[in-house]
Amino acid sequence: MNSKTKIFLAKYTVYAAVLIVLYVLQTTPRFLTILDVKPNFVIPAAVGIAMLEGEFIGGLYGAFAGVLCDLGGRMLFGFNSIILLVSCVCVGLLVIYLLRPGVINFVLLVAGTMLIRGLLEYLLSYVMWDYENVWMVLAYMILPAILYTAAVSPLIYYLLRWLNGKFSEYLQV
Amino acid sequence: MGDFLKSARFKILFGVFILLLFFMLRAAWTGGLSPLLSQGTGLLVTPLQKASSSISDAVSGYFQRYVRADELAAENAALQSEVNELRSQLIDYEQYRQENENLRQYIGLKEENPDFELEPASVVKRDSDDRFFSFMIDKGSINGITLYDTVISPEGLVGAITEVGPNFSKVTTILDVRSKVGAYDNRTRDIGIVNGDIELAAEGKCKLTYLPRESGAAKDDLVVTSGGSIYPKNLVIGKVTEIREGEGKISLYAVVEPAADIKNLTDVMVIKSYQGQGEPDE
Repeated sequence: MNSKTKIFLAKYTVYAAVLIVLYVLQTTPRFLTILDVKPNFVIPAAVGIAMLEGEFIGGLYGAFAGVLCDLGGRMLFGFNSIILLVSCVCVGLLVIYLLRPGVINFVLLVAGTMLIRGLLEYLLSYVMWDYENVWMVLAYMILPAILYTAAVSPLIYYLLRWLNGKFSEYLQV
Repeated sequence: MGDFLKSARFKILFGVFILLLFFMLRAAWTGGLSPLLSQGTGLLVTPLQKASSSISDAVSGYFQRYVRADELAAENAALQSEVNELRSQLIDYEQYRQENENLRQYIGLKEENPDFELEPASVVKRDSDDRFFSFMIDKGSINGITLYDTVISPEGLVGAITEVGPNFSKVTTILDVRSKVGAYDNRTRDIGIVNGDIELAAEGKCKLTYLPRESGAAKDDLVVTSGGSIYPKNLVIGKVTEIREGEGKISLYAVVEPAADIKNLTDVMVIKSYQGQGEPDE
């Protein structure tokens, strides 16, 4: 194994570790909870990796992030994994062909991914079952969570960009 | 773009997609059983979550103490250290008292129900996007926990196990719209179903539905389980805070405030088995 391969291996291990640490923080009881709403850290991290690494690596990390979100989640296992796999591939392709990788585009892509996931969950888990007052889930939980996540997501983007930059430096050396 | 669709990378990603789809179908087929992939990830992250949960408790405890001490310092700087020390002792004392009280209540429950096989567990994870305060505990199949085991706190019923991994389990609370518990009003003996409601869940409440129109149920009545295949009989669920008319005005429902503080639970007890488990609901 040459040094270049080792650096790539180290980078991908660090990305996986970052996702796990963010997941642990995200699910820690009471951590950063405001009015019963908690931000999601794993989805911004997956979107960030897709932006920085492209559609293939992004898609794989999206699937991994989805497995983490599915762990003990309310939806059927696989729901988040499939959505994040597809979303991160799309993010990677969008950045290659249409968008410039920047923090504003990142926040918009995070909000878009969260919105698609939130609306699908709202439709499949609430609207279809005809529960009373389903609009409250959208208004008081899904949308605030998207806004909260979008608000904190730049921190994750800068962390990932810094990591990516460090590994790029090592590769150049 | 066309190149990507023809590339090996796309084929690999498509393979992962199919694999995830297979796991999803398997999860749908097997109900709450955690798929292998989920079990493996859970095995890895649950100890981390347990550690993180403990750190979070310790840090929030420290900051609470600090804020209080700061307020006292403004009032009387000379007494600050003494007050801090006393408060620290008081917090320790309060924690010990609370733990003691909890365990004593469980002992009472065990004495009243010698057939209960209990397993203590700690809350290690609360999902960021769960609207009904479901949580994960640090005990799983290796501790003898099985699907649909009842989960309680010293105050009353919390919910049931809906997913089991080797070292973790998921608890769906009685506030969840999918939860249905056979119950009755302890005073009037009116039977109904306790289930979650989206609006009430935000206030930490649920409802006792299908009460007959002539029901005498009233505020402060105690609601307990009627027993059956999942929940043992006579577990306290909560008390009635209000009676409302049901949809179509053909029945009533009672708003129930759970006895257990579901939003802020840190420790629970799982009833692994009891006499009559698996028998049809009464």
